[in-house]
Amino acid sequence: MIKKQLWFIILCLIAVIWLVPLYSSVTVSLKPLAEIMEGSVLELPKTLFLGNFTKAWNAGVKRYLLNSFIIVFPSVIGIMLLSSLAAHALAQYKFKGNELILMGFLVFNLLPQQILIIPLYRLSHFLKIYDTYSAVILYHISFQTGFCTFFLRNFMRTIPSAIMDSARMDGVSEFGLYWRINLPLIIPALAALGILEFTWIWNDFLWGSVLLTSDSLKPVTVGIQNLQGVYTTAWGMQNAGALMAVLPTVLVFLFLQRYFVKGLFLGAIK
Amino acid sequence: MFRKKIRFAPVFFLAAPLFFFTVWIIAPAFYSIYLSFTKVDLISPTKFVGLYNYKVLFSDSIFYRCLINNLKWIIIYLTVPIPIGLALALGLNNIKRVQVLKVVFFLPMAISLIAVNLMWAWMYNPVWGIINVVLRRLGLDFITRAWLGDPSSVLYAVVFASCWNFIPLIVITFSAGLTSIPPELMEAAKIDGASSLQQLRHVTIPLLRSTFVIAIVLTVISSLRAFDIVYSMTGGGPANLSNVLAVYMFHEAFHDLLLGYGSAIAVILTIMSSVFVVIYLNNVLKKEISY
Repeated sequence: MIKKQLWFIILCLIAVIWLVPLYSSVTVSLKPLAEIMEGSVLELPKTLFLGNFTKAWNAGVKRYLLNSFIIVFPSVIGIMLLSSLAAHALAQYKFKGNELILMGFLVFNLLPQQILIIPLYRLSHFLKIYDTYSAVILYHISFQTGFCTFFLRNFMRTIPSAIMDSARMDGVSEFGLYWRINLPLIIPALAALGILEFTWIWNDFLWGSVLLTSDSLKPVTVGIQNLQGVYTTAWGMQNAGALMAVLPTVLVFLFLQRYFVKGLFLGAIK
Repeated sequence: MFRKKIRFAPVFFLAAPLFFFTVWIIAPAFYSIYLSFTKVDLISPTKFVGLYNYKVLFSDSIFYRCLINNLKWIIIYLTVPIPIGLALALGLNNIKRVQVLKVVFFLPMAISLIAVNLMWAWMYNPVWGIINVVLRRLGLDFITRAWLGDPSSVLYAVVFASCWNFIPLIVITFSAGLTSIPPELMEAAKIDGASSLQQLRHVTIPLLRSTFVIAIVLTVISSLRAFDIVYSMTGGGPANLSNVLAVYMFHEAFHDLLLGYGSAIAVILTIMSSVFVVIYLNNVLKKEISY
């Protein structure tokens, strides 16, 4: 019993240290620059100063946040659709090449994305979608479909095949098996995946940099990195921008942490 | 008729996903390999140059600098996040009322590396950053430095910031492993009079073998992928001291416009990762694929 309390105390202490970066970021974002210059770094802000947030918001964070939403939502929906189709095929039908395709989806997902940068830069030019939302969305849909197919296929394998067989006997079409039988059964897995994918795509920086060049289209990760370059000593504003940029994923995480972790438990690791 | 329909079904379901995956992922990966054997710039037409890019690469001192930094990154990632991740997972597994603690420990995972960079770059600020301020107040002035400007600390500073974001994944990996250990085994060890340390040494760790393999492979693959935080925090500087292959590749392709050369770096990086991807597949897929 004492040992458990000791563990608890140690973990709480580590947790406090763990949160220092957030504390440092939140406090600087709420102080005017002058207060920092006076040497007040560790202390809580004297007043609730929101100037950094309004400055960052008006310097483009508003637009960047909107861009991120415009990119993330269609991507996640597209991924769910494509990967559930592929997973259905791989989980429900025995055919030549089944395992090969499954492996292919996973292997190409594990390779460093650097191998895709130059070809996709060119492909997007070739398709005349360079510097459009579509380029980034199509990339995310294609790439993440690999991992999600693997994840959903494994989840679908846990559904008893008797369900499919009896539905087939009842005359349900092959598409009906997917749409009316399988899809409703995998909703929990889709929810977990959706949350993971929301976070991953929201946090993407590489593809927002490679496939986009107009400032007005940039997702928030690329946007706040620009702020860092332009307003080099406006630390309060930079951190205010960073905090606004992470708010959506942090909120999703705080409220849906259980699904998030379950997703990783099921898919990425086991 | 019925059979025919079923045989056609997988083709129908796989058509769209495979099309997108092939066009956007598989074919481009192979195209990169092709490009690495060519000289490409924006002015002259693409020219096949055989192994030329690789020859240049293997006599490029920046390439070796990056390679060494990637290896250092792997070593730090193996020696910091893995023990801390395991310790936290064991701790969280040992006590009740952990929901809040879990949220705290896992939170950095939800924060993008670009935001992590902004938060940590501020902490590393030589004058007003929290790290130096605390050190000064403790009278440890001799340790303070410009963490991101000092050649002796820059790589470590970047990697540690990255660890904050990476450790949660390792905690989750080990937690998943720990929950798969049957509690009866622990009970049996306890009844036999094993101390906590003995339990850990002789029961827990041996049973986590495959979890260790997964954690180590994840760690190595992530180290080789390092890009966002290096690119945004230091750009690889000063003097390439914190540079890594992924950032160097990006720089060669988009700054120096050497697309063939950049592709060659990407291919080397991919070959290095592939070794570990194969180990991963061997461990994870054996169980998953079996019918």
